[in-house]
Amino acid sequence: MAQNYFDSEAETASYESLRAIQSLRLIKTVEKCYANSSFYRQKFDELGIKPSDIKSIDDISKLPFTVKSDFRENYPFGLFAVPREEIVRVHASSGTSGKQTVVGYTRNDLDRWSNCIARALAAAGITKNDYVQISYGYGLFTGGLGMHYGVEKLGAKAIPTSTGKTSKQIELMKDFRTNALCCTPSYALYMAEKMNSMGIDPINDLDLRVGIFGGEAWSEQMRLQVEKELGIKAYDIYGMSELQGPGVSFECEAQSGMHINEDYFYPEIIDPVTLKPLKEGEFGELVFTCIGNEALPLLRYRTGDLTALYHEKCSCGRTLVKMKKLRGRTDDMLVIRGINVYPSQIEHIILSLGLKPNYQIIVDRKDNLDVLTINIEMSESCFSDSVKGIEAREKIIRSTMQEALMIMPIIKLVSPKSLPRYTGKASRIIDNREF
Amino acid sequence: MAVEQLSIFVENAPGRLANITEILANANIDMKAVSVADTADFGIFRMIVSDTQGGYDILKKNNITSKITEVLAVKILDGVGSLNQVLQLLSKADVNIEYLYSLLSHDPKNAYIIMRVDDTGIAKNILIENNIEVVDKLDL
Repeated sequence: MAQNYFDSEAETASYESLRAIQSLRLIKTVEKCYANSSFYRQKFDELGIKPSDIKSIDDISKLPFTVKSDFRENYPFGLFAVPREEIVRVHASSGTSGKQTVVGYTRNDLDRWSNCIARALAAAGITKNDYVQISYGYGLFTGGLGMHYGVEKLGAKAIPTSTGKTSKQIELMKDFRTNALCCTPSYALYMAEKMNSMGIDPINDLDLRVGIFGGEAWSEQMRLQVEKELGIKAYDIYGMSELQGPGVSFECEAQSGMHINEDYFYPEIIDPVTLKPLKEGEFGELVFTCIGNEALPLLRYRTGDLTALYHEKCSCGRTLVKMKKLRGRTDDMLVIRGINVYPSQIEHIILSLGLKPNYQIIVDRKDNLDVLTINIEMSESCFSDSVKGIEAREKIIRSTMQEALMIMPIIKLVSPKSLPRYTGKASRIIDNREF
Repeated sequence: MAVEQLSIFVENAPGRLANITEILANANIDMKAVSVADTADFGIFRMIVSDTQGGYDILKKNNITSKITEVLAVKILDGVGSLNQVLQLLSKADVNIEYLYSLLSHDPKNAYIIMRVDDTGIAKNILIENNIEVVDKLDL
């Protein structure tokens, strides 16, 4: 189905021509990193490598890794590798501590990003004639604006509803005859439930045909549920703000893994312990080198996501390598309502409020929405003789958490010494969700 | 010296109150009056006991958070209209009551009202002006 490609030349390129493009772009990226980024220049010098050592994509394993904490240490703009006047957009997501992970884009970066998303939309069968409702948050989060410009790039019609006000969204979906929906899979299920309570039958009352869902890991079983309840085809899309946002990889009609836009994001799978590259098909940590990024040309960025890569003759005709559904994380990062949450951030806030770091993080899925509960042990400094006093304290904790995490948690003060104690690396997370 | 009360944090879960009463019983501490304020998640167990400091110490040893707080103790006649008279006076003086509970006196004619108000000074004055006894010590 040739009409399902947005950029057929890149999406169906032969292995050899793809390698040639990747080699060319890697060499250029490495040269730019060395010339314009003091962060990478220092890393290269420490390892004793020069840009001229990188002659093709096969030399990629000579390059240093980049990790999440590099963002924190270079906060806010230290990793940007272009002069300031070239940056036209900034996004941010949660970091491992109080500081946000900040990413920047040049005009070309935004164009590339929109291209990546347009490919994903086309692969899901979305065309210029479709109305696409974008129910990801608009703002610092990359989901909303990222999908938005991709929809416009494709030439389809973007309906920027953002998240929240669900019944209003559903009304618009009905009145505008929306054809496609973009949001987190759990929000899609929440919408289905809301439709039910509003007396709207998604199959007979709506024109919804397809959904592109991402921002969180979801199981095959959840896909079947979304497809059944909304009467649509549901496709996965992958990305993370450090790399660009959504659209690093996407599912096609085969619905069997995601094609990586590898002409822009070169993937590797490594053993997260030895850091040695693994063979095709083996599960390990996904690592990307952004060979198409100008503002943020990350080299061998360790995503923390566990998956495997494989080539196959795909029924859609794309030659781009595929990645399997995510198997989990190498660290303790949680994705709650599509937003990254690190336990270390929560601990940081608890300490900053003068509380003892005796806490427990519980994630549940209630009515298809993630619920974050933080149990904190009561201490004398926090206790008050009046209910009002304790509730005021809880409210401060809740609002401070919400501000930092961008999610409203439930705060529960529990008896002192009632939470389990851990020796060594604390594992205070109880994730009751099923993926 | 004002009357002292023990305020104890209780998580809203089965067995928490019983755990506290058991600790106090084993320490030979007598509870003269109790009251429980509760929300969905937690409660405050307030009580007048025979040994406030001793109660605080033994609870702390058992990892239970408590606090010694000073409360207003008002002696009233055990009869119709006594509490109403006190509350009317406080209401007229615009004093807000955070909580109150009652306690029987050794003397069957009297009872005590234990309360916490937003302005203890004003409350005390208005009650004393109207010949209502605010006590420092409970006759139990």
